Amino acid sequence: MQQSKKNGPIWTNKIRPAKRLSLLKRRVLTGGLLILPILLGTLIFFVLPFAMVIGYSFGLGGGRTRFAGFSIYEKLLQSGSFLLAAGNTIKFLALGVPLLLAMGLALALLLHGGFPGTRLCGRTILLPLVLPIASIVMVVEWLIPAPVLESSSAFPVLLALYLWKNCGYITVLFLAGLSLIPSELYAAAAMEGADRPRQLWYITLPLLAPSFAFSAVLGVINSFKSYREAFLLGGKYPHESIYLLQHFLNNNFENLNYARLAAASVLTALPIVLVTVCILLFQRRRT
Amino acid sequence: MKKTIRKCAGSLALLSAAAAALGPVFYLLWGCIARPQGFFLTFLRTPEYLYKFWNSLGICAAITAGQLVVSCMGGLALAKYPLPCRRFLLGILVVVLLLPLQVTLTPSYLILDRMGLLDTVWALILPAVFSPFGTIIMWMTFRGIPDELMDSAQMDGAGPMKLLWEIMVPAGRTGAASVLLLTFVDAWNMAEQPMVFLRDVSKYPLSVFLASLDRNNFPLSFHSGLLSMLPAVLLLLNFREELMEGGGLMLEK
Repeated sequence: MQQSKKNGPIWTNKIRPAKRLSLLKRRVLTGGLLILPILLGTLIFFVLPFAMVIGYSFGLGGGRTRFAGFSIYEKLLQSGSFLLAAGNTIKFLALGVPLLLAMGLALALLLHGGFPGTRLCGRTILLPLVLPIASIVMVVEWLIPAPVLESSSAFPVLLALYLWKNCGYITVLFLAGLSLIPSELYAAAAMEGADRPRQLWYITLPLLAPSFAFSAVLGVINSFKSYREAFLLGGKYPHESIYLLQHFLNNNFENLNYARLAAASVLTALPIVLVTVCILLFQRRRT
Repeated sequence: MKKTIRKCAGSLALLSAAAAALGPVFYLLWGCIARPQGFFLTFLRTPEYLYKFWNSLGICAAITAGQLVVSCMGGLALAKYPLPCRRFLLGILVVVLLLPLQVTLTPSYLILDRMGLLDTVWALILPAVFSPFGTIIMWMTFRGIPDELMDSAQMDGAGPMKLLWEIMVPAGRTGAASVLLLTFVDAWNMAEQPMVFLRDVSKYPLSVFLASLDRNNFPLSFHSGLLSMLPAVLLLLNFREELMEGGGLMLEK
């Protein structure tokens, strides 16, 4: 520490090479210690047990050691309740995330446009995010008659709740992206004769790419959390249109059917991990 | 003329968004004012409600505090320190971040079972503390803070801990506030974890307990619904500006 005090910033200063190396080592060590808690925690609670789960899904676990091949997966893929749950979850994701991004972008553009009411809207927009689901579901149940919630209309209700809850934060992210676009770009485009729709298409949308990416990630993560609303609306056995993956898992946790749970976990993780890894590798190649 | 119509339409859309956000709160408020007897039912006749309220608040505070500490440390390491295989570590954290609870519940259950922590509050707290969410947010936040700030503090002889808590976290306080608020709200709403990790129904936190209340008991429902809103709404009032600004710092780079 004495040394660094005397010599100023440790990695920019011209110190003797040997000394510099040891200081670099010290920085690596400090960084390693800082990242250790999250890394260990992630390994212990998520990554390593996931390896156990893969074993379970092939029949290797819980005392049994007979390799079952893909038979557990085969049975799972023939189970009507799993297919229903997976289908509903995918449908929810495919409808919910694009709608959420579109709504968030539209609201951000409106807020950025400086219309009257901007202040009020900006102040209240994050409220749905923090309101507890239990309280909101109470309001929904009083407003919407029970027979509707027990029919296939439960799906749009669930979708609307998801959009209502998450739109605020997505709007904030798009607003942040909009504020980072230099206004000279628009002035230059206007001078060249580009009208508003063209400016939106050629300047705003491409430069909002980071906001889109981050919003999509949050949208996907949160769409899986819609089980909370579904559970509070419909209990453990809701209408089949909102029977989600989590309902299926809960039933199997009650029966202690670990092999089946493990196979369902792996099957759900597979597309997510593959897509994420591909995107990360693609990004790496580009930079 | 065309401009006026545009302005009106824009304002109308903004105001309806505000109304949609505020509506449920006013509905609950109005319901409470109309049924004042619910206040007594909630606070005097249902002791388990208040017990659950404070219990859940404790659990959420522990999760939020733990997640905040772990995230600030990890985020700084990823953003500003020369880590070996940094991209690989970041990749692991991003993949785990994107795995929904529906994937991680079974692995977490198995490991918590081995550790003998099932049916205790630790089963709710520990996996939530080590979620990579906050680390990614803080990494994005710290990345947007210029290196010079850290260099000059180091020049003044600040140690790593002082550097983190007294220089970098205050500089990235918009990101830290976002982590705090989003983690707290998520923990306050938790439903999947207690239903899987806890067998003893009496240990369920408020979020799941509220579902078991009799919804036809309007006075009790309105007041308990409003009270359960209070902690998160107070946090939002406190940190709203940081949350609104947080996005800017995160997306800058």
